[in-house]
Amino acid sequence: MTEQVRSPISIRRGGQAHPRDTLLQVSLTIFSRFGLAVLTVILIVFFSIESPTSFSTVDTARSILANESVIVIAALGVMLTLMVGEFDLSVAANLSLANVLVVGLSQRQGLPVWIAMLVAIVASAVVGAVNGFIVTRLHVNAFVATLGMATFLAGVCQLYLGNTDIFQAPHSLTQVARGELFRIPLSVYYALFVAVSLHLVLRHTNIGRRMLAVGGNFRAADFAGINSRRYRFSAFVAGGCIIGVAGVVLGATVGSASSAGSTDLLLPIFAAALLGSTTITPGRYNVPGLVIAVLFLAITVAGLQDMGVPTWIQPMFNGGALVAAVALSGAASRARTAQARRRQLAAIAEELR
Amino acid sequence: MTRSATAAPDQFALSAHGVQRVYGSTLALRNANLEVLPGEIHALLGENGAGKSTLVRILAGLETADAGEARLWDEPMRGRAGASPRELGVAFIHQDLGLVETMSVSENIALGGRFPTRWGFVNQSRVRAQAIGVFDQLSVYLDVDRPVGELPPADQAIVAIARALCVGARLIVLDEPTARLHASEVRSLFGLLTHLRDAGVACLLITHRLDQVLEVCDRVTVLRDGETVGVYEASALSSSDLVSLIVGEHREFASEQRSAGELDEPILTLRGLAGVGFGPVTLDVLGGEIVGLTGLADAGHNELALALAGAAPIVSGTVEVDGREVTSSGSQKAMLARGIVYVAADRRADGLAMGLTATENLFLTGFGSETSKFCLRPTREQREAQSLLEEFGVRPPDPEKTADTFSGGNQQKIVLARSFVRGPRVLVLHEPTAAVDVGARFDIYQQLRDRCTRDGCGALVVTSDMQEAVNLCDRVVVMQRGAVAASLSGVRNNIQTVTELAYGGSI
Repeated sequence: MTEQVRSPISIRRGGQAHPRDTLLQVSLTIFSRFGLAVLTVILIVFFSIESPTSFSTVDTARSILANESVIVIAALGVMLTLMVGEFDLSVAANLSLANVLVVGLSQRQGLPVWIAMLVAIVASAVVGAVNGFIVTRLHVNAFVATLGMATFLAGVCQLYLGNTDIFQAPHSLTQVARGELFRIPLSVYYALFVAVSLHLVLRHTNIGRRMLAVGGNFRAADFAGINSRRYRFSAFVAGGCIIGVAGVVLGATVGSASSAGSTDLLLPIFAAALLGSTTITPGRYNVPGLVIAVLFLAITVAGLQDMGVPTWIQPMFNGGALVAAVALSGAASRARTAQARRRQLAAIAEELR
Repeated sequence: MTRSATAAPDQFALSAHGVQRVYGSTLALRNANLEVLPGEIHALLGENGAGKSTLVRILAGLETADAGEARLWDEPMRGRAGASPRELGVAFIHQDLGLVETMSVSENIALGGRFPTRWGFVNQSRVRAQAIGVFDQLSVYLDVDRPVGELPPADQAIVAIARALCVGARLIVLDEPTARLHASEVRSLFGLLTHLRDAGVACLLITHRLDQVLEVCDRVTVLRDGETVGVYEASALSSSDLVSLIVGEHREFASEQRSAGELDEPILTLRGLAGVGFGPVTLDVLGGEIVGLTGLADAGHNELALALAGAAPIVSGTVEVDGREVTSSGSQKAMLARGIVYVAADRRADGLAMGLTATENLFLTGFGSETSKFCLRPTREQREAQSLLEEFGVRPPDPEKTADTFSGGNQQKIVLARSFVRGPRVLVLHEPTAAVDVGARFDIYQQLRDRCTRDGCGALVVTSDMQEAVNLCDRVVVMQRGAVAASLSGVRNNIQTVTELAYGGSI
């Protein structure tokens, strides 16, 4: 999934190499772009050597891919809002909503699977639209708006489920995710499809450029004739829609729906989206980086657990990775700014001499 | 240099010698000198960009000088290491007075130092008594219980001064204190300053209002291009002397001004346009013509620029482009749709997305082609960006570098280049060379003139830099307090006339 390097020039995108840079700086640039991918490969090799019988098996690979498909899709939904300078803390609750709806409607109400799926996705998109409306029209901070929405949705799920969780979703639903093509679960293909199409839209269309502009400086975007409010609203809606897809895939994978929801997914999702922005094109949200980040987090956790580290490692690692990702990208962008300022000062000093 | 003949005092309230400061790619201060005596009102004058505010920021300890020495009451300023200006008895009162509008007058005064307390709790009656005490000293009467937000601007300024005195300030620096005040309010504020001077307090006044300088100040220091031109006794100067001192003899941008006869039809027509802070304004911009719009901070030209950008409301009047009225919805999009392209004054806040590359900034709304409006065309886009950067003299012309790594002048060239991407009918350039060094400034002027002549589009250069207006523009429209004072072209378009008009003169 790594991005193709066409010419030496494209290495500079985000990573900033400069003719005057030393070899050290160039290698740092390359490291900041591909470091996480390389680290992930190293981890795979390491864990395979450490626990050859349990880790380096086809089953482990398949279960990681199947489980992480949901995280990839949901994190892509969150990334859309992050790209335009907003964020969506209701992602886990929205995911649960789609999960509960798709399982519940097909099992309890006996609706055809495709209708249940459609309803669930539309419901999540509506949640995104409400978030977007509250943030862009009522001017409520996204933190407050989406946190409130998360709690509200938890109540909605409980209302629908009553006191009984649903198990045993119909086979026709679970088959949607658990079915296999070339021995790979279908859910992986969905994640791949969402990732590739989003990557194409974000990198190669005017819509993606304008989203980048809104996230980069919404005032400048407004002056350039972009309706930044509309873009922020749309990012919430599209993000909600994609989160709905993730919820449907989750429901079909686990085949059940519980009122406990999937709040524990909030952190891995955000950790992946934020960590993904520090790699491949450091400093900006990008699809390949996000996918690598998800794999990095999942492989580390799976590998450690395989080596006998108890399950408490997962929340600790995800929490640590979230903070570390944000701290790292902040430090990197400050370093870039400082470097640019040093160059300018040096240029002035030369002129004055 | 006519140094004042005042006998050497025991102590300066403030002295600065040979102060230098680099900002980004420009030298904001080269050699600034300033001496303020106790018991005098001293004015610091200079054009926009002459370095007044940089000097004040250094004296306030907000920035450190790259070279030179500044002393407050004989205590050298050592940035964060030394005593803060406040501890030395120096108070800075900025245009934004730094008052909490929802708190009462007495509470605001107590905020300057410490709230009087009893057993660790705030003692309200002593808070009031303290405020009443300081107003008594000043022979000013204000209701100390009213929230500051309810007071008129002049009284708010007085509260800020009272607060400064309350913490023992012996030098008060006032930055544009009268910009928002009416004439009568200005008089009462100056009454207070005179009162303070007689009590031995030193005042440094940074202002644009020359009449006020002559009325109340004892001595004047003039800054030009980051250098102190001289120190003068106010009583020995006339208003036009001051203008000459402030303006000086600039390096000229050689441009032949064209007369209306050589130009096309009007492209932009404003008829009785009025909005918040300006109007009604009626003016024309012809095809290929560059019109300057200038004035002092409160002249309304800034507000007019924002209204033309679609970022500020239009209350009445019409805007026409090529004879067709622009819908009065006045959104940025509506203005762009009719070919009015706005170049923002603050490129950092409103112009560029600093984290994006030059290419992305040039084609911020995307890169459409005739065949497909949907997809970007990376290769063609890159090539076109490269040639734009070269054409506009951006150094280095590297389309993949992010905007924040270019110097201020080059960033401004990128913004300018972008404004031509859409094929504008008329450009509204707001402070097009703010914080841009001289070399880049002349490049920008040249590009603008060449492009306007070639493409036949008009340009309205909204600037507070009157030298820029005179040098660059075929015609200069001077605004005073929201209205057009005069439209100057030909021989009348010279810096002396423009400056005098802006400062309130008439022809």
